[in-house]
Amino acid sequence: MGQSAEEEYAAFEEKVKRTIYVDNLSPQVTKAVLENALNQFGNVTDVQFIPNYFKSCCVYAALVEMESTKQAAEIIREMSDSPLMISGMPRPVRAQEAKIEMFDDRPKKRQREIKCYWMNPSHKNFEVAKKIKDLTKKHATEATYLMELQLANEEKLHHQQSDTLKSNYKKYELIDGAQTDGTVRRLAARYGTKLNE
Amino acid sequence: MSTREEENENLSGNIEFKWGQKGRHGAKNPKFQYYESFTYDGVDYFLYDSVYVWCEGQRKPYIAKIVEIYETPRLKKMVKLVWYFRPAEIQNWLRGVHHLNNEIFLASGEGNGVSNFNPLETICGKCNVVCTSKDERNPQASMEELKMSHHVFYRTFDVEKCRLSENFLDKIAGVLVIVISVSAFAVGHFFNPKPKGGPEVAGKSNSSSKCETKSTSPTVLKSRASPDTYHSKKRKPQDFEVDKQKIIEADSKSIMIEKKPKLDKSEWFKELPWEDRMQKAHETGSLVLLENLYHSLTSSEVEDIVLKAFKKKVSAKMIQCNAFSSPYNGQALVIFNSKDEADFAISELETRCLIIRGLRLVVGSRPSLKEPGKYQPSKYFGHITTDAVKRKQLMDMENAVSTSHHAQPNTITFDMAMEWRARQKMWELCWDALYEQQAEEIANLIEPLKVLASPSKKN
Repeated sequence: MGQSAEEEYAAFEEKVKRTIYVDNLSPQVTKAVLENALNQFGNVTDVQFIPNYFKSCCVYAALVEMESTKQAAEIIREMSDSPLMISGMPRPVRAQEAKIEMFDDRPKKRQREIKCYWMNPSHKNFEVAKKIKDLTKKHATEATYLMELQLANEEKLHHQQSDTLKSNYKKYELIDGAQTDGTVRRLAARYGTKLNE
Repeated sequence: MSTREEENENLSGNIEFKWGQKGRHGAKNPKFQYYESFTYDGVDYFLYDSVYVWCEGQRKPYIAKIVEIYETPRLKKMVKLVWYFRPAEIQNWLRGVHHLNNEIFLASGEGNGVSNFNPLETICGKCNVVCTSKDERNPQASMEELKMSHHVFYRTFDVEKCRLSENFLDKIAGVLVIVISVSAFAVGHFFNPKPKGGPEVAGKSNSSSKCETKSTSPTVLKSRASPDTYHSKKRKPQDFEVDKQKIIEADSKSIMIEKKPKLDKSEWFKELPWEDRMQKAHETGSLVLLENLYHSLTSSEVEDIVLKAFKKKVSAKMIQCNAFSSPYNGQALVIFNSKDEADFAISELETRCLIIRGLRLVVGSRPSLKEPGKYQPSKYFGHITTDAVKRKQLMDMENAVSTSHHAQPNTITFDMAMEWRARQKMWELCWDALYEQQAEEIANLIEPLKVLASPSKKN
């Protein structure tokens, strides 16, 4: 029994190595889309989205299991070399190695008993313990706050780029318009330059 | 009530017993003598009473309704019982379903677990069960009656489909076609002083004049009770009473229907997916978020911890991490069986400290979950879909048709992608910095605990 549990865990570890973690995904990305996108680089054997249950969390991420560890490593390199976009532009997705704690339903490493006990308020270390609990809460709040900041920052960049694109587009439109309505030709004639067709 | 026979009974250490009104319709099995009531250990029981039934190895007695009382030709006193389920007994199918503290569920459907024939002696007391069903056949209970009641029920639990229902079928337990439909409500009926008519009323009024009924011979009672060394209230079930546990293991000799489904129920029925149960638990307030766990813990280990710490069997799930998750703060969601349990757990975690492996102090709170089914696709930044872009895509890039692609370095998209990439890197650094700082803070605080914890353990 213990043997098989160990084997199971070893198999799981192998799977972790074969898997890449992908985030910066749009919520519109489906399993099929992601599979298609990454099948360009290797053979996807499984795609699993990491659920996010909490209001404060807005990370869309997935675990993509590849056929081999080598393929997984290659994709990570490839995607960090040149930005890959899935289901939208221009924000690229990000890939990195998957970690054990990202997985759902992971097997136990070994049959072990988790020791836990209650500390009563009378205990001399209770104050310290209380502080640690408060610290945990504080840290969680900090993380939530940083996530908010990040999101706000992303939003800003989004609008910035959107504006840039719009003005770029206007410029193109202007040039286009000038070409079609003959303004360019007239100007060329006026300044005595030749137009490249 | 104290005839000489009964006195003898008591002297010889046996339990007082007396048959009540004979049943008029013994047609089901002509060999049996049916009764409408009996007196046992000083308590009068009538047909359709709700009773506690003691069962070996069970901490709490089962609750059931008497639907038949009879004596076999070999003078065995038997009752047919239709079971009620306590929420704990069917908790696998109740996850997230809100139920009252004292609510129980009437067994229905066909199959194992609806009813049993049991020796009368397994009954260990009366139970006041009030039916609060809105069904028009049910006379509504008054506030006072509700206060008096031990348990209430208004839902049935179908043992086949494993579903709760508020609709009372006209037949529960195929055998009892009409009787049970009446008796289902007879619970409320019996304790409510508003009689609804029907056979039980007659039975009730008749049996209240039970004094003149025949009592069984003392010898029978003696032989019935003598092998039993248990406390009178906790009679040991007779050998032919079949415990469902035994049945599940291996039992074919019995003519009886098994007792309630209890043991391997999880194998009989499929559990709802976690998300559904979680949402329901969230709505009922029985969902708790545990923080500051080890990331290495698995969901089942968290369940074990909760079982140890709170003596509650729960369903737990470790939250899957993503790249932004704190490396020190493992989280798990736990579905408790009720809001009260969840409240209790949170307050315990607040006033005391639960410590895992000496260093992790568990923090409990109510999580704020995303609302189900509400996706916010518009809230994803970085995918620009203005007309301009669509146009540009057509103009600039042939490969815009495919859903995923690498940007070419000579396009504006590439520049923008690079801006995002830079941003991603920047935030990675931010997160790293945050967690580094947090690690330091934790280390500072935990140092005294580590130092002090080891000698204090020896004391």
